This record gives sequence, structure tokens and C-alpha cells, in this order.
Amino acid sequence: MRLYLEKRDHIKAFSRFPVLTIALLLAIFMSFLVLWSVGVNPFEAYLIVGEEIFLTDYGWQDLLVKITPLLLTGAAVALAAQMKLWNIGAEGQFHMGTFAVTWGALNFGHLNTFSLIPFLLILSIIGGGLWGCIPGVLKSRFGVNEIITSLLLNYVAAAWVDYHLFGDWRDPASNNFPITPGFSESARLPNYFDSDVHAGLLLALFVILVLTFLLKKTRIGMKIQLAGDNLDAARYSGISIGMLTLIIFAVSGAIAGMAGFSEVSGVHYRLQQNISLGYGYTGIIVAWLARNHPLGILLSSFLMAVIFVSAEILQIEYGLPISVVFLYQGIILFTVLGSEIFVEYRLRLQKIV
Amino acid sequence: MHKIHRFFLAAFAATFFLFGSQASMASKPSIGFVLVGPHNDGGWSMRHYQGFKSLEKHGYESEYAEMVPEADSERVFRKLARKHDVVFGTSFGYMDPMVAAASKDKSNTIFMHGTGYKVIDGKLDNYNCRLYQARYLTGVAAGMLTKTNKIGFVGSHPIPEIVSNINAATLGAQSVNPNIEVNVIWINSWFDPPKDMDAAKTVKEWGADVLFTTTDSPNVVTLAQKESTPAKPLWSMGNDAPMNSFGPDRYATGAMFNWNLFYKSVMDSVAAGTWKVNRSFWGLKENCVGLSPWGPNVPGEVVNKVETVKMNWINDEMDDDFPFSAGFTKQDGTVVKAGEVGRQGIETMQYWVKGVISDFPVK
Amino acid sequence: MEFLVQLLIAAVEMGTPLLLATLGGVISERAGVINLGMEGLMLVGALTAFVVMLHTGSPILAVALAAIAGGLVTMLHGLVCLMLRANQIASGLALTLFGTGLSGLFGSSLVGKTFNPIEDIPIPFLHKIPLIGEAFFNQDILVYFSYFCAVLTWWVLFRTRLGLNIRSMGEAPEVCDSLGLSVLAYRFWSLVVGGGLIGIGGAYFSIAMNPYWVDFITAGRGWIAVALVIFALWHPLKAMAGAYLFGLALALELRLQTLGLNVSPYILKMMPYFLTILVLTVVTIKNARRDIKVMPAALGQVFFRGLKN
Repeated sequence: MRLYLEKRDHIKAFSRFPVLTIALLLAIFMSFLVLWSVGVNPFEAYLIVGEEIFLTDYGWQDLLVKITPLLLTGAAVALAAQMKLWNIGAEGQFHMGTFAVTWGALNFGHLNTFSLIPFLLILSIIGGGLWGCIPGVLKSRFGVNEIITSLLLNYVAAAWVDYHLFGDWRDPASNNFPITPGFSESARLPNYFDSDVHAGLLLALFVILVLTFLLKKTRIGMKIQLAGDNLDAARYSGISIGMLTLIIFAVSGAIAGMAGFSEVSGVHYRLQQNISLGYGYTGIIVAWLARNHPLGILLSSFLMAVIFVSAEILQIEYGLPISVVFLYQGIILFTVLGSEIFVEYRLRLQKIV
Repeated sequence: MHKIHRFFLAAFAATFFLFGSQASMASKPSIGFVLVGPHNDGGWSMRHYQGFKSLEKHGYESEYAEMVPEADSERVFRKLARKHDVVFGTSFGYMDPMVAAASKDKSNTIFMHGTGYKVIDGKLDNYNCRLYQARYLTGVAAGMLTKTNKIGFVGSHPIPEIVSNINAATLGAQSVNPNIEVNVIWINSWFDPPKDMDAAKTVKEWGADVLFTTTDSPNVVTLAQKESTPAKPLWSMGNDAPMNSFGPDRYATGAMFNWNLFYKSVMDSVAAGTWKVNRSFWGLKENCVGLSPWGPNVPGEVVNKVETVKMNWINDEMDDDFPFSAGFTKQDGTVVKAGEVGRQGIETMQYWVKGVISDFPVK
Repeated sequence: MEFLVQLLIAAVEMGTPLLLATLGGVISERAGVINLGMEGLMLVGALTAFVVMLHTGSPILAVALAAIAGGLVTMLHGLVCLMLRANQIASGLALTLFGTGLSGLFGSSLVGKTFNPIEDIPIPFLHKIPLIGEAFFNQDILVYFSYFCAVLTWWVLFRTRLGLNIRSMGEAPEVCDSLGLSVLAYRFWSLVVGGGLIGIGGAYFSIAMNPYWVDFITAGRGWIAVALVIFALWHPLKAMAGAYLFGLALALELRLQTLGLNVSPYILKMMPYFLTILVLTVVTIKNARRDIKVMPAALGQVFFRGLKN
């Protein structure tokens, strides 16, 4: 007897759901074991986490605030993935977005909000976009692997932000602690419903809508899809792959940069360390789980946001150290990632004669 | 079900009331606190954690979240504020998030911010303690212990808190040994044990034989224990918490925090309804900072001298802002007169005193 | 002179854990599997070694168990990204979370404990060579072990049939498969052996460099190793050069301060990464001309056999 995987004959549009449900149940079961092993009643813990997140007004706020950057970084990674390119650099592009926005907000804070906010948005697009262009150019011009260059540029971007944060941008009023002065009112994104939910969420949804439209309905979208399906075929049909690669990376970087804008102008109102809690890297997971589908991005950023937000709930309610929370997140990710295959394949038992 | 629960609670409370029980558990205000590092980091966060947990025996229960990045902290403060009567944050970077959380909070929750300067009357207070006082004492010890007249520091980032501590130690050492030179190696990171160890080695290579750290990693202690020889003895000074277990033979002492009394006083004032904003800045006299236990090999005369200075200080021979209040010379030769530098000057200090030989790192 | 000697000693010490982890990364990436879980694996190795050292005092046992622990935890990554063919990058991130959490959870009761770090053993004659003798031949046993590992990895990868097979898995898995080699098995075991080496790299922190336990003791070195694998162009001997170069950069940052040179540490931090990108670009261009690939062609690609399409 041996186990093997067999490709499903046809994948129905909704065949992902049962698989994902089973995966999530398995994830929940595994995390039950983790919680139980550290002396926490897992049923109660899930009830409390669920109640805190879904049945309170602040839970929804927290969730929507956390979803916002993930939607954008997820979309950034997913766009590149349409052409089978991996943008591991969303983290760095996010940082460069925050850098550009902070530069604008600190130097042009006196402008009124109607001119400043669009200006900051453009700055973040330029900051993230240019940073995305580096792996794009290297890939299209010289064939340098984009996974690696974009990853390495994350470290550079983080050091670049630190350089300013620990240098000339330090707020003298903050005892020289490494944080910039707060942004002026005009540089802040509006909040809605008297809550923390800010305009960045609309921006993120808008970006995803536009991307979907571009990919499905426009010529350049078709070209990208074609190149993603079959590079050689696309090349023979006269599509400039190099140009397309560069464009994809620039746009992908710009979207990640916008995530930086949304966080720094919508949540923190200043630049400081750890503004990105790994949103760029989480974006990779978001995009992968979503299989680059727009609706999927909504769902998977929702899932990731729940995991983010549940961290403090478990800490506060149960006094769990943060390491348990990491462990729990790792297990959930492993389970969900590992289950993906069963969407396309089914497990079969075969008798070996 | 729920109602029955409530009923029993009410009945319970009534019984206590009728029979005049003293301060039932439920009436004690509860604490939510936020740590910037892990609760067992061996230093800064651990001392706060221990301070809060020591209050449990007085009936003040607490819950906490650790390793909360400054940028993500406002949410956590608000979360804690919904459940608890007093919310503490223990990193400078929590200042504005706490101000934001406190101004949005509609309940009676009180916010206490460690190491900042912003307050909101009736809502948010800040507090700090005078660790530089203890550091001055360790400086006195270092001045007597050193043979090479060179003292080395491992620094994290040059924020005023750490700068004033290094200056105080320098002044302390100079009070017994005017030829002291002090060098500081910055690791430019809040936390990096491997690099921290290399920084300790670097100051040792420079010639320092008394090694201080202002980070929470016990590397200077480990290094002194490992590399001290009878011909070239090394001494180490701990930071924030006792570090003697990491190298007892060559451990001198260390400046450390002791938050228990302070946190108890805050909670007592909240329980009594007398809490108000007062920007506490406790020191040796209040036993909020102190020296960690002396190492067994420290010569008796050093212990005696330092303990004498400490007692004199506690007995008000020196004021709270000493040694800075007594006047000193800056690294560039500028003379600062007695009384010129007070609390404000200490909390924003961004220059070296004479005797520190490294350049000031800013910009 | 003394300054240079001390600088080199520090460079080797700082470089050793990086070297061990990088070698682990080289092996798995040569077989075509990216491992972004290095930081988590190093933490698992560091904790295991610390616990064993604390209880037995035996560095050899500590290192051996750190390797086993690293290998075992890596199997999760192998299971998810090879057998269940999930995305290697996402799975690697999950591994980092998992390893970090695991080490923090089981390490919390060990804070405050310590032991004597492993001793330096001078190698006769060699340690008297001026300048480099002290740095390379008067170190602890793990440093010597890392030399051995580097050479052994190179020898296996480039001089044996096994190594050829491993490298082929990263270049053309389909061809290997058609020749009857099990891609899955080769990749899985390369990944696991690599994970073991990464675990040993972590052990260096807790038993040689910082003989105590705190959460996150590796302080991000795993991520540097991820970059170093690329810097070394997937070559074990170049990994040596790369690791010591990074070690030198770290050691220099601190020692420039004693010389009174105020170079911005953040600019200094960026340099190795820029340099890596530059090297990679130059090499890619050169290789394109000669039509040789440096980078494993199938790196990160899913390979799956036995499908009935």
C-alpha cells in the first residue's frame, strides 16, 4: 500500500472552501494542543478571542486597521506573482514609502490637507515604486534573480530608515528618542465612524478594485496574464517581457509604498521603529493563500489580521508569553499552507501489486 | 445562568459589607501593564515585571502584554484600559500612544507612563527614577577598583537616560581618582547579545579593567569572569538587575531598579482615591534605585567607602540632583556651575562630562 | 598590529555562527529549497545546546543535540513545502515563527542560569603565525568544526556523486527524476542536514559567545545568514569568506569607535547588502555570457512527481 496524490479532474470554483475549512479546523485543533500544553483551556480561549474580536466594537476596529496594510502588501505581492515574479521586497518598499511620506510631512506639513495628502500619496508611490524598480531593472536588464535582490533590499531600506530615525529626524522634544516629530493635522488621514478605521482602508480596497479591472479587462492585463502562463509564448507574440517586468515591479513597489503611507499617515502620524510588523512578509503569505485572487486577498488578509490581533488578547487574558503566540501563529500558518495542495490534489491509497 | 451568578456575587458582597470585612479583594484596583521587552529579559522589563508581581501579595492583581512595539502599543493600552483601573507603560516610546489612549479613554482608568514627560491632569502621569544616583556610587567603586585608570562602558543608544548615567559614573570615579578615563562603545541597538559581547571585548582591548554595561545583557560580567587574570584583574558592573550569577568572582556591584515600593505607593494612592499627577522621580532615598549585592572579592575598603557615600546621600548630605547639581566640567571644557543642571537638564542630557574620552555620537 | 589581531579574532568569532548557518543554507538551496526559517532554527539550536550544556557540561553532546533539534524542526518545513508543496517562502516564515516561539516557550525557565563558555584551544604551531594565527587557530572547537564543515560541504557538493546529485536537484529536478533519483528524498534530506548545521550555528551563541539564555539571543543573525547564502553564490568556501567579511564589518563598527572615527553604523550596515547585490549582478552578467548559471536554476520551484494529470 502506498499513499499518493492525484490531481483532481476539474477544480470547481468553490472547491477551495471545504479544503480551507478542514485546514482551519486542523489549525484550530493543533493550536488547541499548544494552548492546552501551556495550561490554557483552549475552548475558553477561542471563545474569548472570538468575543473580543467579533463581538466588541473595538475588535472590529482593530481588525480593520490591521487588514489595511495587509491588503496592500498582499496585493503588491500578488500582482508580481501574476507574472510568476516573486516580490519578497514589499517590506523594504513599505519602508521606503514611509520614508518618503515622512520626508514630505516633515517638510511640507504647513500645506493644507487637500494638497498635502495627495502629495504624500504620490511620494509614497515614488518611494516604494523606485525601490521596486531596482529588482525590476536588475531582473529585466541583467536577469538577476528578483527573489534575492528584493529580499536584500529590505535590509537596506530598514537601515536607511534607521539612519534618519537615529539621526537628523529625531525629535528634539522627545529627549532624542528615535522617533520623528508628530505629523501636522493636515498630514493625517481622516478616520471614519468615530473609530480608528481610516481612509487607508478605502485606498486599499480601491487599489484592489483597480488591479482586478486592469488585469481582467485591459490589454496590459492580458499581456501580464499571458506572460504569467507561458513566458515563451508571450515573447513570441511580441510582448516585451523586460518592459513588462519593470512595470510590474514598479507598480508592485508603489502599492507596498502606499501601505507605508496608509500606516504612517493613518495610524502612527510619525515615523518610528517597527511601524511595519512584518507586513511586507505577511503580504507574501496573504498573496499565496489568496492564490492571487482579489477576493482571496480580502479573506486571507482577514485571516492574518485575526492572527495578529489575537496575539495581545492571549497575552493579556492568559498571561501567555509572546513566544507561545509566535508558536501558535507558526502552527496555524503551517497547517493552512500545508493544506493548500488538497485543493488541486486528492489523497489516494494504492495497492502495490 | 448569568443572573444567578450576579445574584451570588451581590449576596457575597452584601455579606462582606454586613460583617465589616476589611478591604475585600474586589475593591482593590487592578493593574494592566505593557512591557517593551520580554518579561524575563534579565533587566529593564524584568524589574518592572517583578515590581508589579510583588503587588499581588497586597491584593493588586495584574495582567500584562510583553514585547509590544511602540508603534503598535496604543491599541494594547486601550485594551488594557477597558479591564483595569491603572495602566502602566514602561518605555519612553509609549509616551504618545499612551497620551492618545488616555485622551480617548472615557472611563476612570488612570495611565502611568514610565520615563516620559507628558501628563494629563487627572488621567495620565509619568514617572521615572534616578538611576544615575546608583550609577554614581558604582562609579566611586570603579574609581577605587581600577588599576589602569580606564573604565569602559557598553552602550545601547545615546539617549539622555544612558548619557546621564555614564556621566554620573564618571563623576563618581573622579571623586576618588582624578585620572580616570572613560570610553563608551555603542552597539547601536536595543538588544543584540552577540554584538554586545564583542563591544565588551572592545572596551577591554582598549584597556579598561572595570567594565560597565547599560544594556541588559550580562556580557561584561561573563567576560570579566572568563578573562580576568591575577596579573590583569578585571571587574564588572551589572545593570538594571543583579547580574552576579553570571560571574560571581569578578562581579563588583551594579546599579539597579527596585520598583516594588514605588508601584505600591501608586496603587495605594489610587485605592485611597488620593492619586494625582506628580511626576515622581524617586531615587536612593526612596529605595527605588540601589546597588546590587556586592561580589565576594571586592575589597572591604571599597565597600565601606561606597556604602558611606550612599548613607550620607540618604541622610541628605547630597541633594537629589547630585552629582550634577554640584557643578562639573563638560568634555569641551565648558564649566557648569553648581545648581545649573537640575532635573530638566538631567533628563535631556546630550553631552559628556570631562573624563569621557569618546566623541559624543549624535549626528 | 594588536588592533588588527583583535579585529580579526572578533571577525572570526562573529563570523562562525554565520558560517555554520550559511553552510546549512547552501546545502538546502543547492538542492533547490529556500529556507527562510533560519532565524527560528538558530534559536532552537541555541536553546537545545544551552540546556544540554547546562545539564551535562558536554559541548560535544550539546552541539550534537542542537544539530538534531535543528534537523527535526526543519522537517516541518520539508513536510509542508516539499511533500505538500506549499510555497517555500511562506513556509520558511512560518518556520521562523515556530522556532522563535518554541525557543521562547521552553527557554523561559532558564533565564539567569549560566556556565563556563567553551574554552579556546590553540592549535600547535599554527596559532603562532603572525596576524592570522591568533584569529584562526586559537579559537574554540566549534570554530575549528566550522572550518571542517565548510571544507566537507565543498568536498561533498563538488567532488562526490552524492553532491552532484544534490546539485542536480537544484538545477534540473525533472532530469533527475527521469534518471530514477528521488527528488523529494534528496531535497528533504538536504534541507534537514542544512537545518542541523543551522542549529549548530545557533548553538555557538549560547555555548561559546553568550553562555546564558535570553529570548531572541541570536538577534537577527539568521536573517543575515539568509543573505550570506546568496553573497557566497551558493559556494561553501566562498561562504567562509563571506561570513568572515560580515563578521569583520560587525567587529569593525565597534572598533572604529575606539579609533574615534564616527562612521554612521546604519550606512555601514547597508554596505554588505549593496555589495551582495552588486556581486550577484556582476556574476549573473558574466555567467550569462559564458552561459553558466551560478544560482541553482530550480531554486524555490515546486517539483512534484507521480501525478496522474
